[in-house]
Amino acid sequence: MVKKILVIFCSALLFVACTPSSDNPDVNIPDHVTDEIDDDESTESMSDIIENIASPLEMANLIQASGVPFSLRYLAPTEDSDKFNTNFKKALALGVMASDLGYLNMYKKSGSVINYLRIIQRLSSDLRIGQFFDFKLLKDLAKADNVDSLMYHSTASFNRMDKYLRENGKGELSALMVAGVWIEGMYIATQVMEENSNQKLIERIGEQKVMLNLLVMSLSSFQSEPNFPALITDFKVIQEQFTNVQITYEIGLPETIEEDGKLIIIQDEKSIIHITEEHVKLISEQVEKVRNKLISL
Amino acid sequence: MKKIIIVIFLAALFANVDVKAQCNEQLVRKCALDIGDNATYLKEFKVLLRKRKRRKSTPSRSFSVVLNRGTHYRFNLCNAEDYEGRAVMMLYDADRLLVTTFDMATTKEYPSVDFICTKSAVYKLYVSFKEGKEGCAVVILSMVR
Repeated sequence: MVKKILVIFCSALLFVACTPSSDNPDVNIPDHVTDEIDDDESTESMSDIIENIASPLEMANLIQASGVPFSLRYLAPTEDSDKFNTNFKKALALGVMASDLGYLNMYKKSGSVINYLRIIQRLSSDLRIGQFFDFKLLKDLAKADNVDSLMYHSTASFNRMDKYLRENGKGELSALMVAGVWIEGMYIATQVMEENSNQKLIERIGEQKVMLNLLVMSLSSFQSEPNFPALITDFKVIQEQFTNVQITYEIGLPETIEEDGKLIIIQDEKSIIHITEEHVKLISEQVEKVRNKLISL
Repeated sequence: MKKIIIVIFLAALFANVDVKAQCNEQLVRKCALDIGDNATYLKEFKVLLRKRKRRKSTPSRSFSVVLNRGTHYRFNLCNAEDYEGRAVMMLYDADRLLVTTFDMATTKEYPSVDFICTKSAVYKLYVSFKEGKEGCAVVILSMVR
């Protein structure tokens, strides 16, 4: 009897030990196993480069740090989200909502995030990436006003969704998500600019010329996909507004500081953005047109 | 006999937990906790590299990362304890080394490095393991507020 119990017990343990834990869905966590130096630029796909062109948090952080007051008016409406009824619309809307969620989180408005979380849950489930978005956990964190954890888990969720799409032959949906994040971040920034002019924000808007060029290149690689040509045209119209924005570079001396055993490096090369308020106005108008068109598709 | 069963159970349980606590999501979560109260998590870069083969270069893994001018970034590097390799992270702008977690001159290792970015661009982040040893590591990119 004891022997039988032992055999069953050991078998069960073996099974448990060999089964991936539900807490660790990706046991093959490392992105790649490489035997050779992987430093060939040409082997890198465009999707890897644009992966983090648009961060839902960075633009929001700049706005918040500038002392600009919070406003719900900048955000996409959460009503009538059923209109996002194709994968194309859903992926774009997911990016837009991710950007709005980043803005809300940065201002610690956890009370307002539930509606956005609900839409994101629906959109991600419809796109079959809902497994990376733990709605209940995020909702609980929002209710508990645990903003730091909410920011971590929501950002990590979006990173995993994006990674999954790119690695599973759905790069076009990933590109749409990134486009959604970018246009909404730009929309919020340009709307803020109209009410609270700020040199740092003007420059951040101007340097989006670089990011937009990368984004248009990425979207163009899906030119043959349905609805992409019209979207690319819209983004190219915004790109035209950046023509007069110039970016120059200046070399300086690098600075390295060690504080309490921590290393801080201040970059030596500076990018200087040559942009006027008139340029910002033109960019702002075009961004508003395209963003409003995309969320009302 | 009951004691034996309990011992086997505990040994298997701990062995299992120990493995899982290393080169997986727990490593990411553990590393994300180290970024500091004043930083916001942005992204992670996970790397598992096999031991360098004889007469081959040290294996490394590269990632593209877009960094924005005017943002204070932090890179935290964490090694999985069940691998021998100790990771080194390097950030390049084209062919210019900007940041590394290992100071060759002093052989000092830094578990985190702050980088104040003054040029928006696509940078290249490399991770390799010292002496080409097999290793598993994660780099957390965060933004200091």
